[in-house]
Amino acid sequence: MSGQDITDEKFDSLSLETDRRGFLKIAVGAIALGAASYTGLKAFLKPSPIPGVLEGASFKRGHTLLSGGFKVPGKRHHKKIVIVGGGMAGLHAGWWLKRNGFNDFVILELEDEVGGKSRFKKHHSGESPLGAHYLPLPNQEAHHTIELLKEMGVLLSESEKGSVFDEDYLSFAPRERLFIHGRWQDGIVPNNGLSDNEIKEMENFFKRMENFKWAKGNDGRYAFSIPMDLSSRDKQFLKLDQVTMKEWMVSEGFSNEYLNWYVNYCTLDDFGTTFDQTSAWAGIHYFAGRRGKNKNSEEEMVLTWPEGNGRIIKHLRDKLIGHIETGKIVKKVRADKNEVLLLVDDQKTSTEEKWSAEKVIYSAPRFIAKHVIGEEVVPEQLDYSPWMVSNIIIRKPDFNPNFYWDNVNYHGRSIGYINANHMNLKSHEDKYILTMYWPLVSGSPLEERRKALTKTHAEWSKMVIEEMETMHPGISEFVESLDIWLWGHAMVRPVPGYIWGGDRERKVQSKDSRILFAHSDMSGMSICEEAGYWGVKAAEEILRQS
Amino acid sequence: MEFILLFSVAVIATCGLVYELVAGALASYLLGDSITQFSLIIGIYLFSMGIGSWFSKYIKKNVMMKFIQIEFIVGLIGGLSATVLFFSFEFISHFRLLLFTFVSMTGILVGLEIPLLMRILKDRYEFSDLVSKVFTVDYIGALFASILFPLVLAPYLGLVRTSLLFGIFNVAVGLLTLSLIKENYPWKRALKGTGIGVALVLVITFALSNKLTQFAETLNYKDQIVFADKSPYQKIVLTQGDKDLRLFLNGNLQFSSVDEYRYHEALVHPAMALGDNPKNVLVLGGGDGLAVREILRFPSVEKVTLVDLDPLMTKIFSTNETLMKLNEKALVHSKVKVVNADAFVWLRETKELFDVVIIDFPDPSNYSLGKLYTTRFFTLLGKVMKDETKAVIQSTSPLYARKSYWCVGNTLKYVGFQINPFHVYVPSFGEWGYFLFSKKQFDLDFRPLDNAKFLTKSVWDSMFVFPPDMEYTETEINRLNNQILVRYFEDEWSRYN
Repeated sequence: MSGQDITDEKFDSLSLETDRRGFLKIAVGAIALGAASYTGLKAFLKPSPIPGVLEGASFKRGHTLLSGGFKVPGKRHHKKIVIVGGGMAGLHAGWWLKRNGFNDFVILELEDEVGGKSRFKKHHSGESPLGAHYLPLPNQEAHHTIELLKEMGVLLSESEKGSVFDEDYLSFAPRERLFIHGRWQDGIVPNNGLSDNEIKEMENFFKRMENFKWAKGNDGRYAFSIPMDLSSRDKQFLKLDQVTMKEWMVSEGFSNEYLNWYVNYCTLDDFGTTFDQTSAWAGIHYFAGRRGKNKNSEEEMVLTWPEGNGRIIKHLRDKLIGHIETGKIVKKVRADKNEVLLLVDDQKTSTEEKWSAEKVIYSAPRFIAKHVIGEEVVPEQLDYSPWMVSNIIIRKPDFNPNFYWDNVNYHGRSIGYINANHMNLKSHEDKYILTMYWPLVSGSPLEERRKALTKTHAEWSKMVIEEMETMHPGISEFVESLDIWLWGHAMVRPVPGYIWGGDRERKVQSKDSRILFAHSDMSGMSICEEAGYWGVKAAEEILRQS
Repeated sequence: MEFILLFSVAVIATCGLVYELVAGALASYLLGDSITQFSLIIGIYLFSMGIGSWFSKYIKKNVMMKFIQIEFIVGLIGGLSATVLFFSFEFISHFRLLLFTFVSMTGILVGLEIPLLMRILKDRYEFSDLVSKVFTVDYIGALFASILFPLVLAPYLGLVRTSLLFGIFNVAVGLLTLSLIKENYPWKRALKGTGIGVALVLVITFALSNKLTQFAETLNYKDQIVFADKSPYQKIVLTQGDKDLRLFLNGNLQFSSVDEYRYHEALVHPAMALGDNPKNVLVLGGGDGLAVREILRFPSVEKVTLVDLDPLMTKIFSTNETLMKLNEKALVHSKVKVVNADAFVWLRETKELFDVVIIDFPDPSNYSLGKLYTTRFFTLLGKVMKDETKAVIQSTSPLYARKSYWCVGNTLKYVGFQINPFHVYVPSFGEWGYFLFSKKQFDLDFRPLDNAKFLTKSVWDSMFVFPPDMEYTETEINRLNNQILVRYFEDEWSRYN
């Protein structure tokens, strides 16, 4: 870059000393100008904050259990049966009672809406889940789920070869994809970029899982069932509960990076727990517990709806009109010699009501039971994983992102997102509603729960957008709104020993036969069929006794 | 003055590097293989700068004026580089040549800038001081550009607008320098005018850049565009050539006015003529009204319901004169009711029964459209059909997409319809296939319309003959949960594109 006559003399005098101040002025000026115009331009171009709300399970209401709540006495009520908690288990219990002609019961729900972790959200452009969002095809032994699906018109007919489900609810194609090594592949099991050995190891792993799927114990039961209570008690399988999934995989020689990622993704999906903390029995259960089949489809299918398992909630809720009371915080449950007494805060009147019942089905989560009933009903190892669920409304981008139903990011921070309107029959949507699932597992559950409560909507949004951008560069421009929903106690954690260590099984029943328990916490896995199983089982017990 | 000139150095350094980065990013984007593209562009750019520097010694007089002129030229060429390269990519065969020409031209001009500036400044500083100042500022500008480009410019402005913006900066530097000259040279005014002119060109291009991008897409069409618009559902483009009018949806040809009658007579006439004086007819898709035009040739018709998703489509075909001439005002006919709705949703809600159903959806080229060819959709369709209702569906080409074609037939059969495959040659499309279907077996003997341009009795008989290269093949059944048809379709048509 020179056209000048440069002489040696002039080179000799090359020195900054001549006008150091002048130079500094220019340098500082240029940097300051640059910085100013950079920040100015950025501020000018920076999109205004993303609208949306930060919500969650009512932390405050939950905590009245500790603080004591209202003191003004309210009304007294009596019902033959009081069901505490209107989540999946409580609603199943009520549904089963009603279905069998038993009407003298009420469901008391703490929140303003029933549904528990299967609640959903209404947007202008449709509905989407806030939590549980699909149901694998039920096993034959899951009678209650089969009955429910028949009643909902989802299961059309049953046969040995496979049942026939209404195709409106079988997850539509294209179903699942994984963003790995910079591109999307079909299916979530990694196959892009694997060596032959790695592929072989994957195949071996799935072969092992397939064997477990059909394995039976010495009591003639399947080793892994849903409901899990019907699983074989054969020691050779139960001992898998003593080690973590990761330990089991290491001991079996499964070590490749891709498989580790995939199994970890799966345990996060079902338990919100990483595979180095999940019991191997639970981990294998994920792969081996589901034997349901649809006659007209070859692959493993799941049932799903735009609002997720909210569809099941809607059905049960509609069947239970007149039996549900919301905004009722059950603070204490005590059995005396004649009846069971409940202290209940009513949110509408701000009074403390007294309820009495012959029997109570306690179907609130177990960590609450500790405060309401007493320490003795809660397994020692009980712990929960916190989750964040984000609903993102996307203006239809000009580029077509070709959303699948389930879209997962390899080594992402979330476990991916689903396209909630994938299950609409319409061929055109003006907007997409994407639901992103994010287990909070970087620290211990308690730490993560605390951290989650301090984060702002803007901070959560930033995390969600960053995760979306890695999969779809440029998509943030099209985000219309972004809601955050926090679950402090989303899923019970099946750590080694929780499921078959003995304590959980002992605490499935209360000492007083007038208080029955029903919750998926009792299974050690937060899935709809487990909640339903315990709900229906409690209802059957009531029906038998009356 | 010195400060302003040094500030100019920073600006032109930033501009220079931005052009280089834009060219690199654009080449990687259009040609792929970013390592090669960036490497070549950086090399050629730096080398051209060297050429520029060397040339600078031949500029003897009026250095200030020349510097200002160069600023304007750099602004123009560098500023428009991304725009021109983007738009020409589709049309020229030697894109690389054009790319490297732009890169070298910009490089040479940028290479001229610094030496000239140094000569302008040489009387104001000690030489050592001058070199250190100019180069320091030069490198700061480069750093600034390299940070700004990936973080702000490329993501927020895009490549086209980034290069335009920096072109404007270059011109601004020229104009600023010009304003510093106190002497009254005769060329000052002319130069000022040029600068403002160039700046205007850049500003206008910048303002129109979105429109230009849209326009660039329309250049993909061979003939003159007479109508182009975008609805939430699709891009609609009409072109007028010497011989014909063509409709494109999302760039895919829907019909040519020269031979569309072949397609539409084959689609409509058999189903209508085989019906027993059909009165109530349903058309799904077909917002161009051409199928309706054919339906209305049958005097028994009392009511036609056309369900098309896109209001824009039915609107232009019921208001534009040329198009209304083509569809013989079918969509504004008193017997015709136009419903803008999603066919799936509409079918679920309707209680009406129809005598004939004509299905003229776009090809199953994506999962949204694929839904309209599933067992679920066909089952729903069965609910608006009587036992003797005849229906017909356009089913892509049995020659180019044999599996796709037969997959539609097999799916119809699976849900319980009796199917009759037939095909026709439409010059602008090629071999095209349909299925005529009904709940009951039916006779295929019919009396063609007297005034048919194409579909006579003997032609009709020939349409059932499927030569070996398009004859029946087994396929999977297309369901919502497998969407196998879309996969067949993508696979088969990709071989022709």
